[in-house]
Amino acid sequence: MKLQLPREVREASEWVLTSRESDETQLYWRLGELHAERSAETVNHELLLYRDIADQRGSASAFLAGDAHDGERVKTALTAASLALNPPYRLPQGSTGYPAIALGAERMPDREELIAWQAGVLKQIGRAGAKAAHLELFAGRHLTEVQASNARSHAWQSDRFLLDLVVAAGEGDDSTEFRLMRESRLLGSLLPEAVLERALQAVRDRSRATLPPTGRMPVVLPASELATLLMSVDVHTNGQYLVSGMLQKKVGDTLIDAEGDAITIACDPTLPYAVASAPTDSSTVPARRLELLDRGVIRNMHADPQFAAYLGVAPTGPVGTLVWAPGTTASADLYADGPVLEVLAFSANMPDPMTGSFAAEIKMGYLHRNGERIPVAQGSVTGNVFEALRRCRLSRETEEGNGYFGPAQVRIEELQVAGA
Amino acid sequence: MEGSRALAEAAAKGAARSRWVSMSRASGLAIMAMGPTVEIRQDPPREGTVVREVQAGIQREWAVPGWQTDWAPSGAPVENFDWTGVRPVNGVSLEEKLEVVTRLRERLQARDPRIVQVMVRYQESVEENRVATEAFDRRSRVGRVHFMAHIVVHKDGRSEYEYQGQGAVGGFEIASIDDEDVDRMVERAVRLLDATSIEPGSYKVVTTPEVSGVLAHEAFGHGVEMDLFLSDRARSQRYIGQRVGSDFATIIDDPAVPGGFGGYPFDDDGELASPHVILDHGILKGGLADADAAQALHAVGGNGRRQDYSRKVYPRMTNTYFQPGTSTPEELIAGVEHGVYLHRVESGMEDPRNWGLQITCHYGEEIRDGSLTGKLYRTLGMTGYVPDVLQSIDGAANDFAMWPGHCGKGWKEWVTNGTGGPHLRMTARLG
Repeated sequence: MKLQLPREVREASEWVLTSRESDETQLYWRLGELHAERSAETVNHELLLYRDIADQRGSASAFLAGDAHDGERVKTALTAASLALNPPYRLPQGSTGYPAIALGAERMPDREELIAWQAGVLKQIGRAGAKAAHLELFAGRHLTEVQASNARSHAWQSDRFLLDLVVAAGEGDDSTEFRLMRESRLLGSLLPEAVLERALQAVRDRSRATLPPTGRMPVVLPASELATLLMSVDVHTNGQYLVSGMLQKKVGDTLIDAEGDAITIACDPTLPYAVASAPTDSSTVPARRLELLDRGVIRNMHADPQFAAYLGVAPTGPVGTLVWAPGTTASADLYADGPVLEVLAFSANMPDPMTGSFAAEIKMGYLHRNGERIPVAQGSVTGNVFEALRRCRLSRETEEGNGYFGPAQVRIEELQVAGA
Repeated sequence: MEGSRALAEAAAKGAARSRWVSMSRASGLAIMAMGPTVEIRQDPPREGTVVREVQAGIQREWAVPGWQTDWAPSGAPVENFDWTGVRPVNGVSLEEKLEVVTRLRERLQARDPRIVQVMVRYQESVEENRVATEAFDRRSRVGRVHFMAHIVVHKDGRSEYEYQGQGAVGGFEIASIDDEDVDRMVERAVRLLDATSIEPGSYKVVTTPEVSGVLAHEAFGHGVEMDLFLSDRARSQRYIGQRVGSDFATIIDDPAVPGGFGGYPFDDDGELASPHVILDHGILKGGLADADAAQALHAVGGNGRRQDYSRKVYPRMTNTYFQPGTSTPEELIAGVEHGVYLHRVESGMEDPRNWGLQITCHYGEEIRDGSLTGKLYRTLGMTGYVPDVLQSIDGAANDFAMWPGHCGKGWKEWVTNGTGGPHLRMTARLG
């Protein structure tokens, strides 16, 4: 992956080169048949250039190809950097170490092993009386190298498996389906049995699901839906957004004044095998765990060297996984004092990360009422992430995977449900 | 091992197509001014080194050329398509592009003291595609520009935002936002600070072209992508020729509609693109196919698109919209006793099997006795059963606008697309 930087780079005040080499196998199944397969090998080199002019710094990027035209590309980027001028900052200085983080197995499974794994999943689904309408598996190994003008460099290998699975049951207009998108660093942890079982149960129950009742009620969300709630916390602890004027709260302020369980969240890019883990960011800052919220109070903002300089703090490195401290309530006890809506999955919950507002269709869920667990689907749940986190109870059981680490379930005391 | 044996058998039988494809190459640039800072970034080039693919018995392998490599001649007649607009972006200086961004940022920052953050973003791409066979050698250059402004306002501890922009296939001429639109954006953002939640229920709604477009896209855009017919996921395949909407519901997918962000002259299989009527006055007519689905289902192709060289081709939408009607938007609103005027899409999701609908709108305005009351509702989820919603459409306006977007098939395979249409009036569940 070695690239010779063109001499034009000498005109930059600082630079960072990130080189990525990827080798990915893609297998596509449709209704039990392998109907397509692809492999893609790619290499790309992104050069981020910094240029100091008077007391300001500009930056711009160029993608290099290792050919005779790289000099031209660098000159174009230097020109761009001289136009996009900002208050000064520098890359971190001095030598440093980087954490060794396990980001894959010793050996990538080969094509036959991947096909066998998929066939195994199909068999499991078939045994449950369902079928896989579509199953796509992407398996890639990636080599990343970061080197910079501050004499820091680091290289590491990581694996990434992506699964897109649609489980279906029934025939014709009575058929139902449930879609799973999963990501992991190890093939063995891509589709835990419990996750597949939940999908199979959803598909079985969907055919008898009715609209939920309309009203305000407690709602229990699963781990798979909690990661999107945390995006709002991520934005409100992002130093760049504080500098830009978007945020109203800063370090030391209370972001979530909880009446229920206190909210404590850290970001951790060093978790072994976590999808979001990495030993460094694109500015050569080493990975480290960072407390963001401590019982609802902002303890730190995450920031790259530019925005860390503007805030007067040390740069924080890659964000990694948002790690949410669990509560003390057993999951089963979250359903007391019903009726309670248990959401298995939304069709697509995308809370606005700035305001925290959200509205999402219930793809599949259950209404817990008088000891019964009644399948429900469609209708919607509307609310606000910050209001929701103010009044919630966190399970003591945790779940990790697919970019999430935190309570397995969270009960939000009151959300608006629109249904029948 | 059964799947791979089936693939080998199909290859041995020999498939009908023999075609070699030279992959696209693309450049992209983004300029973003957010708060006090400015950033200029290039998009990663959509190129790679080597890609190998086996699909339905056809084996392909190609090395993707870099920017400076000339296209090798194939011997077939060359068809060139240049969709780079009135002012192709490659002919516009970086200084001019940066100036249009910073000028709008300064204007917005000075507009109202309650505006605490302004973000202006300019994004361009130029994509060169070529598909060559023994019979044809098709080459295209397609430019796309997306220009948008986003403002955040604060009052009494509450934050709200609004945005405005436009995007289409073309050139730098797209990078502008009308003064009227800017003023409207600021006014709405400030009003949103007093917006409340809506009482959930069934409402008469009037949708802006932006919302109408996403309805077309989610309801019967994704639902007729014909790979879903092949995987038995699309309810629509059993309803071709049947009524699923009112007479006001005509949905078209057209890669060449003016203002469309998702268009192209030929698809990633090399098929010339053409408009497709999906819904004709409420009757479901047909689907959208790539070469694979077209061959399997005896359909017309032209909708085969891949995210980039590293991904497979799938049937995808281009620019999907409702056809305009004859009323005015004011007439549609005047016909509502109690309802909501829906604006600004935050997100949408398809449900091809069960025909559920989800569109999340940033805000809506109350309608009472045929007039807008000024009361705003924030973050509304519009849900329902697609045929119920489409059959409830009882008015289509005579206006038309297109909006740019990026669409994933589920949560991956991202491609550009356009959505739009006129104002529509219908009944939907809001919460």
